[in-house]
Amino acid sequence: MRELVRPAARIDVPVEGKIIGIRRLTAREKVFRIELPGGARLAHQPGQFVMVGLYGSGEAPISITSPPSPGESFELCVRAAGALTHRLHSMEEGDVVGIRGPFGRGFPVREMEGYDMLFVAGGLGLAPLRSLIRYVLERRDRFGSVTILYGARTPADRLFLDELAQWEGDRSIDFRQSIDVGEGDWTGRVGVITTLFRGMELKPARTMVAVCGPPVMYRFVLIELLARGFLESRIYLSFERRMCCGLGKCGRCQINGEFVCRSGPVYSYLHAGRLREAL
Amino acid sequence: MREWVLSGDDLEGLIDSISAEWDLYAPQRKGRLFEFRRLRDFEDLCIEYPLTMIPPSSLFAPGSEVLYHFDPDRPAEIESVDPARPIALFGVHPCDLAGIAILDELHLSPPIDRCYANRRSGSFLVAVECAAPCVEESLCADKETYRARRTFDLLLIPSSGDRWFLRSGSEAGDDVARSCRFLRPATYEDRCRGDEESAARNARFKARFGLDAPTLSARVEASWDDLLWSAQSRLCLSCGACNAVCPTCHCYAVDDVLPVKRGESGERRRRRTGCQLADFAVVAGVENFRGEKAFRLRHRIFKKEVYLVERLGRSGCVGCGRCGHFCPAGIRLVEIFRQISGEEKVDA
Repeated sequence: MRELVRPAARIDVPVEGKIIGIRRLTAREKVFRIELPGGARLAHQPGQFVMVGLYGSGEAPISITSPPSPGESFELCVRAAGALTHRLHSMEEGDVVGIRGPFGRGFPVREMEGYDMLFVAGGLGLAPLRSLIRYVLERRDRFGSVTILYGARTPADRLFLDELAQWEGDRSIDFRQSIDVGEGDWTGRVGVITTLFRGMELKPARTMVAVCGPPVMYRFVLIELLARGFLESRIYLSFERRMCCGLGKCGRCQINGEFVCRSGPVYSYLHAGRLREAL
Repeated sequence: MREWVLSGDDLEGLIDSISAEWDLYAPQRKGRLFEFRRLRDFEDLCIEYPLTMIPPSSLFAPGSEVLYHFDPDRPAEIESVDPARPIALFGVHPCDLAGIAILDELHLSPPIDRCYANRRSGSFLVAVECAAPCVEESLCADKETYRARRTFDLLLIPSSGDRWFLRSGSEAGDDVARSCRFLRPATYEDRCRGDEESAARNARFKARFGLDAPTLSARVEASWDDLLWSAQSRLCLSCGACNAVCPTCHCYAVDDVLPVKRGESGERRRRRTGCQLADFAVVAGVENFRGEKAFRLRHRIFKKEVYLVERLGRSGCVGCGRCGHFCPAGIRLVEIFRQISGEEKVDA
């Protein structure tokens, strides 16, 4: 009992992440490109998250929105919601934030190979899913058809507009979007995200589904998916919970016996559907 | 296992030997309550105390502590916290010892909790066995935590005629005992008498529900949809007192304290929080995943009786009775278990 243990930094003590690029997406969301000291790789899986900290404002879990890459930086999509994220939004290139991680389990990318991919993203849920979408698009030949469904509250709330346009124009991608509230010169579809399923030809037996969005969306998307015969084991959901430590210790993110920061945030519905507080 | 005999007058000598190496904390009066604090004067020791409001494990996992220091102007540089001076806890009840054993398992399993390890490593535990359950809410007989079986360095067992048995549970315990010249090794006769007294004491600890841990766990698990959770939580004030006094509650939040003056360092701190507080499971200030008192009470009991049982193989509740004893709304674990055990089950 006398020995003191000092775990590696990045797990319980943050390292310095330098902001090397900032892009505004909407009135509330910005994307920050972050570089670790000495150009170290984050080495994350799509769906994982990091703890972002600013001294004076504590830490918050933020999902990684860029795909794993051999490059030396990564992207975080941040909504200005609380004290820490508002401060982040006022920061400039060259400023420094604390980074711990990556934490948790992401999407099972290897198991997904060979399948058709169906992505269902609602609102800010596109941020973590974008990591997987881009991972798949970078290895297009390893996957079957790619379908992306995106729902946002208003046209102005939509994220990554340039990429949405790119997906829309790509003949190898079936991209559909809908907004809840019609506004301005919006000529696209209006309605909740589940309306996008109407008239779609999907092959549930050979499809992997990745879903991320607000909690209420899961209930209705799951009803839709299960009614169409998608398998519980091939529906992956990313859960948002409040994480303070990322180490399975602080108890804040617990769903039943699971620590979302360790065994999640991505769970198959086969597993999550049996947790009694998950959905 | 080695055992010695000492007289009540020798307790001071034992405390002096331990204090030579450790900062010694012992139960003392605090108004109408009791607490573990540094023992400055032997006269202040209350070795026969009912229970402290704050469990002694809080010396290893305090309500608030510094994770590390930082310089707001140079965020890359972090000073870690100095190694804690090793402490000794003198007079820990068996239930609280069981609580420390659970925190050990949770915090010292990888990834190791640096701060807990810092305080716990090199510490010295002297347990004391109880003569009888200390409060009406005690469940130590049901939880089988009324006897100290492990985790202690030394164990004091009360005996008749102002005498104590002293049992060692570790090498550090052996060393301390060897340094105490006034200890007399227990003879065969001593041991026989000790066993008799022990049996008489054990008889005073009667299990209330007669449910073993797996059965209770299964019954709790089956109670998810029962009305008892909303019925029992009706008066809950969401104050979190039950979490604050629980020897195995360990959830925390992280805050920063900025320096007042330039050039001073700031502190990244963690403070204990509790699953009974209304905003415990709020995400990004909007969604509350346990927005009802019934959900929060159910989570607390499920965490102890189901989730920790799955993880540790034993209940996360050590039966100390504090949560009920100090609950301002009178919510009692005993009552919840009574309903769950089938006698007064309220069904949906």
